[in-house]
Amino acid sequence: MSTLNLNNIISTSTQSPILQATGNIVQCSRVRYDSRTTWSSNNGGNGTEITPLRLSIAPRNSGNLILCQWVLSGDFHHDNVFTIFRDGGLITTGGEQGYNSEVGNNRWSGFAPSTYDAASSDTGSTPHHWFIQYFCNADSTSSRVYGPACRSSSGSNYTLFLNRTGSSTGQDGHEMTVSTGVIYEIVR
Amino acid sequence: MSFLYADNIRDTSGNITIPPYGSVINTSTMRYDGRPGYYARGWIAPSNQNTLFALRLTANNVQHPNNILVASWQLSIETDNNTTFKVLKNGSWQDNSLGTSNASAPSDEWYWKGLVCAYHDGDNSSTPSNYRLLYICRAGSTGSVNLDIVAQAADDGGRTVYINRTYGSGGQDAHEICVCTGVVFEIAHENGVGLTD
Repeated sequence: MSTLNLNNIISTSTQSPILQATGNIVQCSRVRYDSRTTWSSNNGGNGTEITPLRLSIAPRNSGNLILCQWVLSGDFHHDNVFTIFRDGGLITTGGEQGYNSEVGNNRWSGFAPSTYDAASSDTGSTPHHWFIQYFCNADSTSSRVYGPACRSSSGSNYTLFLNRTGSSTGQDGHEMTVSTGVIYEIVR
Repeated sequence: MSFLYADNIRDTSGNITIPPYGSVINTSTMRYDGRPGYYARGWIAPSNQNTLFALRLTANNVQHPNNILVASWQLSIETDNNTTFKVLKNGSWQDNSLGTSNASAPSDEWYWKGLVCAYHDGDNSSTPSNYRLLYICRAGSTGSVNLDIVAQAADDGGRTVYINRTYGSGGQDAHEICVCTGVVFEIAHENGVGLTD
């Protein structure tokens, strides 16, 4: 193994940095989930983690930035939120909470909301999609997993129908889709 | 500070391991947990609208004006469906900018042009919506480049845009309170072919 130590590599033609110390993506992994499953979204606790969408990473440097992005597809009652888990538990680290830090860890506090359909609270034949973008400090080089979770924002319990509609796993007028995720480690 | 000048770096077999273009060379982020309301008007120039400064993404230490900025926001917002979202670059709304707005719409009807628009859902009281804005442009300069979101009424009316909260509440059962985040990448680019400001 050869090691070259320097702070910057610059293109001779553009004078632009090719490689510099900060801002570079140094590793990336992804997840894709096509199965049509259901997940309990309860009115108590921190949420139910959607484990097939876990993103795994072992940071190379504890000072680096971790960036997670997910697109979830599914049918879901509007009185729900998505929270963010690390290693199977809700993230409560100050400034990196997996919910709104101003209102704290209440059941109506999430990282992203569900959606209210045009036709009131349809969870029958048409799913939605949600974009979740979460980042935090790496803090260590230990291997860990990040995942989205769902919880009810009201006194009722609900079900998240992932990659499917509430009333079908595949037929005319009931759209079946895909959920994906990507995680980056970025030098800081 | 040390510098190594080269157009690419190859392994011992001659394969390029670090190409000069296409690499992410800078990353900046923002997270906002506040719960404000912004008043969005229709018949007024976007640059005079209320800018959602809390959602500003600043690309810091941009290395070259030809490089590409890719900005991605996750937004948690409740507002009327007749609302558009635009992006200002350094405080300026440029009608022909790639992705800034729908540039094919007549220029005198700019108030209903947007990068994305609000959803028409069945509720404007207790449930916010989840939006993703993806904005791509040439950096245009070095140093810092500010990218701001402007919400604008798509008619002659006005409305309040609620960030991270619902119309009806700043936090209670069945009124979801969430978070907005943003990430901007600077990507090394040779000459910005096909891109305009």
